[in-house]
Amino acid sequence: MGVSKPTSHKSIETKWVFQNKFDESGIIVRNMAILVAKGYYQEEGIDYDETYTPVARLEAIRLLLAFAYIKDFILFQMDVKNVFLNGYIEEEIYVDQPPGFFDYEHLNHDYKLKKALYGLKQTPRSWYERLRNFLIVQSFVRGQVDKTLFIKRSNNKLLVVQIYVDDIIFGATNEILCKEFSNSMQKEFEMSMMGELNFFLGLQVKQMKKGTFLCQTKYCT
Amino acid sequence: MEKYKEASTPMATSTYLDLDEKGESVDESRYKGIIGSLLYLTASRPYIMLSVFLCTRYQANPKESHLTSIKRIIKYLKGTTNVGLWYPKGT
Repeated sequence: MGVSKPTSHKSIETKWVFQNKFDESGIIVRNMAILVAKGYYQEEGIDYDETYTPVARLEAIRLLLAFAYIKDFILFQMDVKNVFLNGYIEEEIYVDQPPGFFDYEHLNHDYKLKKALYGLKQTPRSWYERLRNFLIVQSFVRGQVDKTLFIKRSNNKLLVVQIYVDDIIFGATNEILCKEFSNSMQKEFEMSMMGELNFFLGLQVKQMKKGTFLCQTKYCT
Repeated sequence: MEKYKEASTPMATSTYLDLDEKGESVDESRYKGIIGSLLYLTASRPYIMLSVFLCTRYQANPKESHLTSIKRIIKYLKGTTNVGLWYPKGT
């Protein structure tokens, strides 16, 4: 982000959103503050064009589970921290200085965005595009039908990656491929490695030697 | 819901649902909300689809009788919270 002179462009207001993070027993473990842009001031064609972004269907995830168990490999899960801040903004967008953090020497300056902020119309899409481009450079092939499924084949080895916004499920017939993938992701993005897939979108998954068990006990109580 | 007894099946074999035009209307958005939650549950228990989908037909103008059969599904779920899908290996 760089400060620049105000132009004829309108700048978008920002505000702080405060949230508390709870652990399983309902105790506050973290206070969070997120700077969001008031995306509802954006005008189509000027501040944004495409906003559509694909999201994986639950059925696709269940299929992947079934596939993993047929092929006999373990699925892993990781997620991206502050996902939406990773996207790059191609449009020329200016935002106001964040409340409480004014630069008193340059009060009439705005910020020009290089990367996305929460709240902008094109933010989810810009994240998806960044991730897609990254994976394609890594010689992944995007699914023909499911645009959130990425596959990489080399020799007889197979690596599948399913994207659900910031949650990424992946598995490979070869452990080294898995390691390589998680390392390359951690280099490119700020990730938290969660390990084996066990809780995803309210689905509890248990991968055992004898098979895979899927239930939603936590959801239906 | 905690007082309800558990049911052993999601729906009785004798259940017959129709538009029930003379019945008492119930809150449509609440009815739809319950349906939505049940639909999400079909991810791990596909077999409740039949009974859920029978109820989804009447979302436009739900009546007391429809809500009753939805509640029956929930009563069934209450007794079977730890049930799920099992993919055994080597079959």
